[in-house]
Formats: sequence, C-alpha cells, structure tokens
Amino acid sequence: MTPAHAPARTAAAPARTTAPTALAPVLRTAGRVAGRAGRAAAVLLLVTVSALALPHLMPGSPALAALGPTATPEQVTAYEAKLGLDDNVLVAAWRWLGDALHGDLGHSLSTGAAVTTELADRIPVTLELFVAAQLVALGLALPVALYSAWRPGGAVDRIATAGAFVWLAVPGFVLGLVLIWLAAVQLRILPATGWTPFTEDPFENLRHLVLPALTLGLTEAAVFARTLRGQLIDTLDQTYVAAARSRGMGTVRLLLRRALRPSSLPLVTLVGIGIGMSLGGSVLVESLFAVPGVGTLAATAIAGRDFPVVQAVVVVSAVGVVAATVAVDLLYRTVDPRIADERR
Amino acid sequence: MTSPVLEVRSLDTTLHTPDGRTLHVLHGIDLSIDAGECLGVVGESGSGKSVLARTVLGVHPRATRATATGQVLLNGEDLLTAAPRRRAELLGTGVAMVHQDPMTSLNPVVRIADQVTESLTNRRRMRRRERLRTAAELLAAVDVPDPARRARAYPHELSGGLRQRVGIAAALAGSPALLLADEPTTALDVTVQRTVLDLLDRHRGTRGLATLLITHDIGLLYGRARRIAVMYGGRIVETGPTEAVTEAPAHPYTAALLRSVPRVTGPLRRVLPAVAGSPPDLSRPAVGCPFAPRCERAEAVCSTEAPPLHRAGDGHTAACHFPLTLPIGPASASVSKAQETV
Amino acid sequence: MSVAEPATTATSATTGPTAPPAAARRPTARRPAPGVLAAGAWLALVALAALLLPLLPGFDPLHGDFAHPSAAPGPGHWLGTDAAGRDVLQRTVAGARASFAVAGLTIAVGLLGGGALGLAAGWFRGPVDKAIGFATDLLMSVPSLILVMITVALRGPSLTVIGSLIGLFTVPHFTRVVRAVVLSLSERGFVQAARMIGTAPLRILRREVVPHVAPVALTFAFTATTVAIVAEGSLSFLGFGLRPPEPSWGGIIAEGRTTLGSAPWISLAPAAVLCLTVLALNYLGEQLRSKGGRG
Repeated sequence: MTPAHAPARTAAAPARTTAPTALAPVLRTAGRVAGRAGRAAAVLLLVTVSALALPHLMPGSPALAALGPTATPEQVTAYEAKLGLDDNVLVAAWRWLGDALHGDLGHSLSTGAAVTTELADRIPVTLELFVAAQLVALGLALPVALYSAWRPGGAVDRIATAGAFVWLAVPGFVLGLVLIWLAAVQLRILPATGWTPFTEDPFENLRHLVLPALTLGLTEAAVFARTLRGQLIDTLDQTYVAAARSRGMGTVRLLLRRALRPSSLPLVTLVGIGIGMSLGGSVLVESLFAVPGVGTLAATAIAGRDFPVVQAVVVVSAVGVVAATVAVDLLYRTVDPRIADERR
Repeated sequence: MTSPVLEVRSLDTTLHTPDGRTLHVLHGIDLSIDAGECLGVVGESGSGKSVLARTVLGVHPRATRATATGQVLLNGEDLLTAAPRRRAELLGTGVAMVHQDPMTSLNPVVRIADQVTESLTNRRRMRRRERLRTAAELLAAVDVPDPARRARAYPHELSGGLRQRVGIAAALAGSPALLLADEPTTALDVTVQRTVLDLLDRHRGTRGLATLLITHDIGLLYGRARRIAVMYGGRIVETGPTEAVTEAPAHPYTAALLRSVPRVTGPLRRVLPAVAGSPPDLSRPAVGCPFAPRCERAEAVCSTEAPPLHRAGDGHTAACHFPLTLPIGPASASVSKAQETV
Repeated sequence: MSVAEPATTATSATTGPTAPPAAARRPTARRPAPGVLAAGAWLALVALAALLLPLLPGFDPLHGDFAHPSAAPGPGHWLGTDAAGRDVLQRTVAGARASFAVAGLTIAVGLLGGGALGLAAGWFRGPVDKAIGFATDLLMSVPSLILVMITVALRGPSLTVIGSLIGLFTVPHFTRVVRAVVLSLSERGFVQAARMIGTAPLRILRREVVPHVAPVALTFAFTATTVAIVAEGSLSFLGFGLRPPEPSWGGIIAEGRTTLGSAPWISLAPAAVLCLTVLALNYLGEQLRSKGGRG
C-alpha cells in the first residue's frame, strides 16, 4: 500500500570515487532528484490530461446538461470553448498547462471567481488541518509504540495492540460522527461544525480545529503505532542496541536517540502517503465538519460539475502526491545515511 | 599479592527464553583475572562462553531473562547483588565489551563519534565539538587512520577491520578495568585478525586492562593469553597456564580441540579430525560429565557421576574421571574414588 | 476449496508450519479460537439477516411508522425509528445488502484485474513487470475517493459504477499481493522443474500457480471487502453513494447526522453494525494471513 515504498533507483548516480569529495553526495542527490522529477513530470502530465478529459466522460453534451435544453448554439459553443471541449484533449491539456504556468487556472463556472484565489483561500486551511492531525497522530503513536516495543507482550502493549486493531475498524466518518455526538452534543464543549480563521481569532480557530484534527489523527495514530512498534521491536533486537546498552546507555536515551531513528523509515513513508492522500481524507472530514478547505471545495465543485475547479483540484492534489513522494525520498536519505550512499 | 580485577565464584546462570524454555547454561564457573592479564576462554558454540561474558556484563538479549547465582566480583564488588543503578554505572567504565560482529554491533544511522563516546556521554553532556575531538583521540589510540574524518563518518563507510577498531575504541572510551572480548576477530579477514588482536594486547599492557578473550579458536591464544579456560556444556572442564594446557591437555575434550587446530609443522596430508558429535542439550538437566556422550574414553561412570577435579599441574586442573595426564601431588579422594569404580 | 499446500508468501507476517498435503485438505483439526468463532458468528448473523429477513412478510425498510418518528430503541423497534418513522434495524439489514453488493463487485473487479496483472507481472517479469508496476503506482498516486466522486457525479450513482470503481482502486493492491506469490513460487523448484520438462505454461499456471495464489488473494479479499464497505460508506456520506430506495450503511448513517442530538441511534446503531462487521472481517483476514494464507 506504499507507492513510495522503494527508494527510486532511476537516477544514475555519479560514479563513486575512492575518496568521496564533499561534492559527490550533493551530485548524487541532485541526480536522484532529477530522475524523480522526470518520472514525476510523466505522472503529472498523465493526470492533467485525464483531468482535462473529465467532461468527455459525461454522457451526452456537458454543455447542454449545464445550460439546459433552452441554450442557444452560441451559448453552447462559448461553454465548450471555456472547458476546452472544442479541442482535442491533448491540445486542451497543453493550453491548460501553459496557462497554469502563468498562474491562471481558469475561473469557476458557478462563482466566476479565479480558481487560483479559491485555492489560495483554502489550501492553508487544509494544511493546518493536516499538520494538526499529524501532531495528534505522532503525539499518540510515538509514546505508545516506544513503550509497547520496550515491553512487548506487556499490559500496555497488549492493550494498545488490541485497541489499535479495533480502532482501525472504525471508518473516519463514523469516528467523526461519534466525536461530534460526544463533544458537541453530549458535553457541549466544542463546536460541531464551522471554521474561524486563525488570523481572526486564534482561540476559536483552535476550538474548531480539535474535532476534525482528532478525526483525521486518531485513525492515523493507530496505523502509525502499529507500524512503528513492529519496526522498533526489530531494531531493539539488533546487536547495536545491545552494544549501546553495554556502554551504560539508559532506556529512555536508548529508545529515543538510538532505536527510534533506524525504526522510522516506514513511518516517514506513512506520513508521506498521508500528505498525498490527505486530500481524499480531507474531503470527508472537511465536509463532515464544514471546514472550508480544499476538500469541501472539491466536493462542492464535483457536485456542481464545476469542471475548472475540479480539474485544478485534481492536478494540484497530484502535485501534492508527487511532491510528497520526492520529499519522502529525500527524507529517507537523511534518516538513513546508507540509502544516500547506495551505489545503485 | 594483588587481588584480581575479576573473580567469578561458582557462577550458575539460567536463561528463560521467550518461547518458555529454561536453559541451565552455566554450571559452577570459577575464574579470576588479574590486572593486565588475559584469560582465554575456549569452547565451541553452545558451550556457554558468550553467556559467561553477558552474565559478567549483566546485559542479555532483550527477550531472554537470566537468573544468575554465585558471585561476580569486579575489584571485590559483587555485581550480581549490586543495585541496578550501580551496575548501569559500571557499564562501560568498570567493565566493557567488544562485540563479535562489527557489521552488526554499530548503529548504522549514528555517526562514529557519537557511538565511540557513548560511555562518556551517558554520564555527562558533551558538546558536538568535544565529542568529535574526543572520538578522534580515541580512534587514533586504536590506529584508525585519519581519525578526525572517520569520527564524522557513518559505520557503512568503514571497512570491517576499521569498524572493529571503532568497537574497541568505544569499549576503551570509559577506561574500564575489565574488557570482555567475545570472538572479536571471528567476523574479520584473517589478515586483519592479527592486527586487531595485537591492538588488544597493546592496550592490555599499557592500561593494565584485565581481558577475558573468548574464542572458539584455541590457536589464537598462543602467546596472548597467560591462562586458558576450556568450556564445555556450560562448565569449565580444564583450566591452566596456556603452555601446560596446550602441550599436555588433561581433558579429552581439550585434546580433541587441539587436534582440530591446523599446524604448520607436521605431516602435510593430515586430515584434521573434527570433534565428533554435537554439544549437549542445555534444556535437560545435566548428570555426569557433559562430554561423556562424545568422549572416546568415557565409561559408565562418566554419564552418572559428576567428574572430580583432577590436578594436572601447578594451577592446571581438569574435571575428568579419566584424565590424560597423571595427577601431581597427593592423589585426591575423588580420584581414588574414581579408580574404585573402574 | 481444496488447497494442495500452504503457500509461503511475502505478505504473510508469520508463516505457519508446513503441514503435510493431506492435513491441509482436511479442515483444521484444532478448534478455532474464540475470536474466530465470534467473528464468524457475527458475519454469519449479518449475512443471514440480509438474506432472509427481507423474505419475512412484515419487512419493509421503506415503510414509515408515522405514529412513532425518531422513536428510541425498544420493543417493536429494536434499534428505534428514524425521522420518518422507518425501522432502523430493518434499514440496517437492507443496508447490509447494498453494502455487500458493492463489496462483491469490488472483489470481483479487484480479483480479476489484480489477479491477471499480478500473474502477468510475476510470470513474465522484466518489461511487463515494470509497465504493470508503473501503472499500479500511477493508480495509487491519484486521490481515489475524488475520482470515484467525479465519476459518480458524471455517470450517476449506480451500484455498477461505484462497485467497479472501488474495485479498480483495489487492483494495485491485489496485483502486488499476487505478484509477490508468483515471484516466490517461481523461485521454488517445482515451477522451474515443470518449465524444464516442457509443461505448457497455461498448465503450469493452472496446476501449480493458481492453487497457491488463490488462498492468498482470497485472504486479501477480506481486506478488500472492508475497503469497499468503508469507501462506499464515505461516498454515501458525501452524497455520492447509492441513492434511496436502496439505502447502504453509509447512506443510513449520513441520514441520521442531522438528528444526532435528538435521536443519535439513527446514525450510531448502523455505525456500530458497520464497525463490528469491518472488525470481524479484519480479524478473520488477519487470522488467515498469520496462518500462511491458507484459505
């Protein structure tokens, strides 16, 4: 389930000299990034073409469906020109990409606003939600996984493992509903839905952030904890951990400074996938909590067949996925120096 | 007469494995090492020699639980009864260990400098520059070329021999009184083995370090270990000065071990005899001599009665019913008892 | 289903002891763990209810008992009624039919597509494997939920569209699982031996490969079922799922969210059923996996 599982071996690394200069690792990394970028460009091009082909998926004429049967032929032509339906998909995609590079993603069919301004308003909201969710997930998963792995089979480990297993059976929308029911309906401590921008009122912003961030973060926490626990148990059985212990290293230091880092590669992958997939997750959570992020924008645009917005969201999210994959790849190298020096 | 750095008295160790088995691994181990002295512990895999080192160190694999009885005295202080805090304090500074495989005993994602200085940084904070400087000094002391650059490197950038030097530097960092070296050269190329062992010898001499050198290769110990302890089935079956044990082994197992060592001298087309059979199953209670099932001299008594201690020379003893050498001094009661049963 | 030999796969966390072929064909002699019994019993209950309850004369999930709208759970309506007075239990049972129908289609698409691609990738390797790898990577890097939503918006929320699209997005996962098994098989002796003595590839596939792939793929089908149930639920929740009068679990849960304050059971009762079902499926899947993928 991990698109970024294996580090890319597409780029040909510069030949390793016997005495590596300071420049060599930089060149190697640059070569890899270039290779990744080539692959990423291919993916992005495919996604763009597919996104631009979306209106063609509709049975009948999208223009007639949107404008109604009373539309004049001129209106239909104008509408089709706007969506690029008058041209070959490839030509339309080329034009769209050219415009996109000039910062023009078209205009919303329903509001008439520039898609770029819509996105600029909403991307920060989705990002804030995502970061908060990661903090929740890591904040829960790290201590639980560390403790479970240190005492595998112990009470905490057994409860956490069983708990995570049960937890994973709760879909995001059910979790969100239960949280709303608990916090907003029963306890009345948090608002069920809505949003206040941070710049307007930081405290209200935080209050609105809690439930959606928990909904996204709690599910991820279970996945994180499971993955990290397994890796940590493997790491703690390594000779080098015993070696560090034989030099008098205490448990806490050992776990945090010696065992965590070599165990965190899969976690990095998971967070990376999270970035890429956050749009899908945010559609659900943002709709549930009426958070005005990219997710709700996408849901509304899809429901209203607002093609320019939908296309922009699809391409932007693909850019996000690709960027996350590259970021994960680079982070791999920081976390594990062996990958950076891999000669393949 | 100075008191020994390490003195182990009737040490018994039992391991409880995660799959629920109980292994009685060490039986009544007695040994002592003086400052600056090297004791060689020889035995095949499964003889308990690694467990001996781990029991002295007090660090076992995470999944196994170990219980030890007897005494492990480090400079007169019993480690088995010491408070956990005190034991942790002594790790690295009182007793240190060089691990077998330098490929797996160094953390792949931690810089050499940070690992080499662990024994020090576990006690007090060190700035990065101080760590690098200290590490470079420690690495220079174990003949690592270009130590300042190596201190910044990661383990995978170093060769196996260099990594083992790093392991030794890390062990020496806390200036321990006792060094446990568990097969320190087994994973290395033959050409590198010698230099690493010489390095250990040098530090033993200059620092007055007591060294417990564990190996399966009795040949390694010539000229390095003053005394040898041969382990079999969790017992020391023979112990004595290196020359005496190797030239006139009293225990049939020692003799078999020595026969399996290749020699430069002697007939060319000699088939090296392997010691037949396999080590005893430690999960069964031991009765009689553990080597009896594989011993060519074994008789009925060997598998029913624990062998008596046979004095083969000055400080040279073997636990055997039918030793290969004649006893010296007054015949002990147990020896005559053994003769009675014949 | 008869399985000649337990397959050792990359997906199985722990591989069970290799049982002699005769023992593998017989049902396991040991009694199943209580957890397995409970999970199986729950799934059987849900399946039987979904199949049999609609045959009862009084069953009508669309009938509104206008005298008792939003009634709390109690006698008469065990799980209460919704805002229109419809019985929540009956609607949950009807929802199971819709959810499982989607899941069935998903698995069919995923098994056929992923099975074929995985077999091809593992069998031919080389460029074929690379091309399939790129395609599956691509499919995995698009936001699946959004694409399904778009398609539903454009082609209408039919069971066929939803089921087959969710199925499409499980294809990469099925492909990986199957490919891993085929790769590990071809490294083992008997496939190489069969190739060498000139057995026709199709015969090798049918006789040697498929029997090993099938249990692993079917085990993964448990996971795919939960993916389908949750994905369909999410879609319904967003208004892109199956439309009434065929309520799915997600749809029923979504309907109740407006009355969460006054009548929480409308949402939470079917939500609990959904979660228990997903839990049971996950548990059985995990148990099967840890037994080495034996079906």
